[in-house]
Order: sequence, then C-alpha cells, then structure tokens
Amino acid sequence: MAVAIRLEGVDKRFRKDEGRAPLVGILQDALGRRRDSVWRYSLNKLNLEIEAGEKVGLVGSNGAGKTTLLKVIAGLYRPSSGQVEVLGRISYLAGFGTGMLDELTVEQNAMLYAAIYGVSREHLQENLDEIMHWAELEDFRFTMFKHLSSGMKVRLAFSVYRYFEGDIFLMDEALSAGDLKFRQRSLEVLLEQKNNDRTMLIASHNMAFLEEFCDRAVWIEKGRLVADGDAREIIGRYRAGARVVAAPRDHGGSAVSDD
Amino acid sequence: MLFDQSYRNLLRALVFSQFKRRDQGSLLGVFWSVVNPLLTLIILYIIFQNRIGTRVEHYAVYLLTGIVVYTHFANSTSAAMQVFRNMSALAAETVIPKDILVLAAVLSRSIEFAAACFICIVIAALSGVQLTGAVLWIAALVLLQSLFALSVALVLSCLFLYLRDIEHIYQVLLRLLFFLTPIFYDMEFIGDGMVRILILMNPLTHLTLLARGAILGGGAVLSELAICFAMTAVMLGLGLALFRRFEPYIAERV
Repeated sequence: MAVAIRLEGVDKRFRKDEGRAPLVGILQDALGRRRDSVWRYSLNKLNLEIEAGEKVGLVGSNGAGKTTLLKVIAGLYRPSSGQVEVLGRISYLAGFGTGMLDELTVEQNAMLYAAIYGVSREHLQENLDEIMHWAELEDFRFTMFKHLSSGMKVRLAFSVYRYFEGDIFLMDEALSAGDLKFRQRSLEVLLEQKNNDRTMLIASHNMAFLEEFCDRAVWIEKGRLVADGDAREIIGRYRAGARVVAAPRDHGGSAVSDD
Repeated sequence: MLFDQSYRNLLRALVFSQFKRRDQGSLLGVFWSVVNPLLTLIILYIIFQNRIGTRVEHYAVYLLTGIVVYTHFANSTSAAMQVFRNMSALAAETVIPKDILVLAAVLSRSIEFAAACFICIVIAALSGVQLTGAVLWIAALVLLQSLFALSVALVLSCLFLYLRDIEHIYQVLLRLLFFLTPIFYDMEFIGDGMVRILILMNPLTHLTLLARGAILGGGAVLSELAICFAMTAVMLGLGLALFRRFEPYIAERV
C-alpha cells in the first residue's frame, strides 16, 4: 500500500506570550534573543505514517494536540521542525459547516460549502434537490443561514459532505452535533464509507464510533505519541484510563532539526 | 490559479457572498457604492465650483472621475485588508488558497467600480463632453486599478495579521492620499515644489489622470497608461511575493 500521510519528527510550537506587546516579540526575533522557554509544544517530535485507504481514529484528552496534528497535516499550520508529506487531495473538516456564512441562504451556503471542498458547480446543482431532501431542508432553501438551528446547519453541511471527493479526509470532532436521528443517519453514511479507498483520520470523543469505524487508532497526549495500533485495543486502553507509562514510543532514526 | 475550475468556482461564491454581506440590513444595499460618490461629488462641487471649478472644464465630471477612482481604491483595499479577520473560519479552518479571500474582496468592489465608471461616462455624455474613442481605455483602467488595489491589499492583509494597528494607520494614510491625488484640484493649482513631486509619485494620481484622459480627453492617455501598467506590474510582483511568504502562517495568526 502507498503511504498517504507521513510525519517525521514533527514539532509544532506556539509562543506562550502571544498577545503581549508584539513589537517586543518582533525585536527579540530580529535579534535572535528569543529564549526557548517561551515556546509551548503542541506537537513534540511526532512520527506517524498512514497508508492510503486506512481509517484511523485519533484519541487523546483535550489539549493533547489532536487539532494541531490535523492542521499540520492539512497544511494549515507549518511544522516548526520536522517533515510532513501528504499524497493526495485533502479535505479538512473542522466540524461540519465551517466556512458557511450567516448572510447567505441555505442554498447559497450549499454552493459555497461545495466550492470550498472542490465539488464542481454542475455536480452540486444536479444533486441540489437530493441534498436538500436528505437534510430535510426543502422548505428552507431560501432561508438565511443564521436563522437555522444548529442541528439544521450540521444537517445541511453533512448532506453536502456526501458529495465531497477528496483522497484524504481529516475530521476534527465533526460527529458530535445534531439530534439522535441525525446522528444515526450520519453514522450510517460514514459506515458505508468504511471500505472505500479514502484515507481518513478522525479525531473524536465518540469512542463507540471510532471502534466500529476505524481499523487503527492513534493516541496522543501532550503532543507526543502514546500508543498506535489496533483500534479496539488502543481505544480500550484509552477508555479504561489505563495509565500507560507516559514514555512515548520512540521511533528513532529521524533527525530532528531545530530551526 | 484562475484557470483552475474549482478556484473559479469558489471565487464566484465568495464574490457573491461579499455582495450579500454588504447588502444586509441596508435599504439601498450595493447602490450605496453609487450614491456615496454622488453625495461626495455634490459636496466638493458646492465648495470648489467658484474657485478651481471656474478654470476646469466640465468640473462636475472632472470631480466625479477622481472620486470614483479614489473610492474604489480606498474601499477595496481597506475591506480586503481585514478579510482574514472577517472571514476567520475560512481563513483558519479550511484548506483553500488564501489569496482567494483577498481577491474576492477586491473583485466585488471592482465590479461596482466598473459600473461606476460606466455611470461616469453616461453622465459625461449627458453633460456635453465630447467622448472619443479614448473612452475605451476605461476598460484598461478598471483592470489595472483592480490589479493595483489587489497588490496593495495582499500586502496590507499580511501586515494586518501581525499588526492590527495598520487598520488605523491606513485610514490616516487614505485621508492623506485623498489630498495627494488631484481629485478636486488640477495640476496647475499645485504649482511647482515638493508637493507636486509627492503628487506625481502617488500611483492614484496616474490612475486618476488615466480615467480623465479616457473620459474628458486631453492629457497623454498613452503615457499615463504606460505609467499605470508599469507600477501595477511592479506592485503585483511585490504583493504576490510577500503574500507567498506569509501565506503558510495565516491560519495560525488569524
């Protein structure tokens, strides 16, 4: 199998003192006087390899670095050091409906959302009726987006999502909204995608879904890899709160350059 | 990038949303982009018609062309500067080329600009200006000025990520620019000296002169065109180069 995502010794650090007198920071940068202690590491020498077609769950407590990891892979964040390689077109979903705009109507937002994720205009227009039907928003096509309930917004986004055509899907806590009925329907759609050839990396706290959907799970804490392997086993350990000795697995071999 | 179908598709959706965004909750909506310059025209006309206005032929049309050029530049650049903040979800949470947000903000204003130029021409014709074939150069003006505004906006939008103060500084600069552009005065009014040099160094001066040359005739349209083309090319090169450097950091700076 071909590798879809490869991370080698990836660090992502943020300034702890961001928001304080930017001018001082700029001067420090310019003089090279910035001390290492002002950095907070969201990802710390992370190694990860995901093959094309794999369905991988990403678990870890809040602030473990899940979102940072997904954003680094998506190319939204630039790693502070280390290497990120991605093969294929990425769809990054920070929740369903991110990017939709309040001042557009439901239908216009469907078009915008599709455009963000590279769905062609024609393809969307052909299927617009079906999209509205699935989302149960036929009567709301020309309603302003801001007047929708949050459940409706997610339904609309998910309905459009079914037409996305990326190779690699990165999902961040995307499965936690909507009522019971919608959850069931959306999970059904996702489970149908279980055996397709898309690469999917899903950060979620919905362990039952991850266990069912993913073959593999990656557990990170404090930006470091804690465990990586069979989904049921890893999630079982994560769930049990089993305190795995926090010595992160060392993949070794990859030189980490600090710039 | 413009040749990529999904890029164009997204651009269209974003330009549309820019229009809708301005339309919200206002009676006249985008028509303000026409009404506003006309109101400014009335004010300046009342103040200056008995002074500079006596010397300049077709002073109302003269004023209007200057106002339209300035308004487009000022509005498009200040709107596009803040686009990453105003559309932060798109800037920080979606994988799209970020220049498209700046481009959409400028482009939505440029469509209005094209309409405003057309209205200028109509008003000129109605008020007895002898239009010539040179009027077609307006199309070149709209294109060049849009690209010029885009270049400035690319630079400003990057600076804005690091220094929000730029928002206020830029407003002051725009006011200065208003007086350094021959909008309500002509070049004779300035005389020789330092101020004249400053005015001639101001890119907006040349865009204004190009617009006037096209509509009111006279002046050296072709040489202004060459100047506008050259400075737009340089600015666009600078703007794109700077933007490419900053683009990877946009999501984390928003």
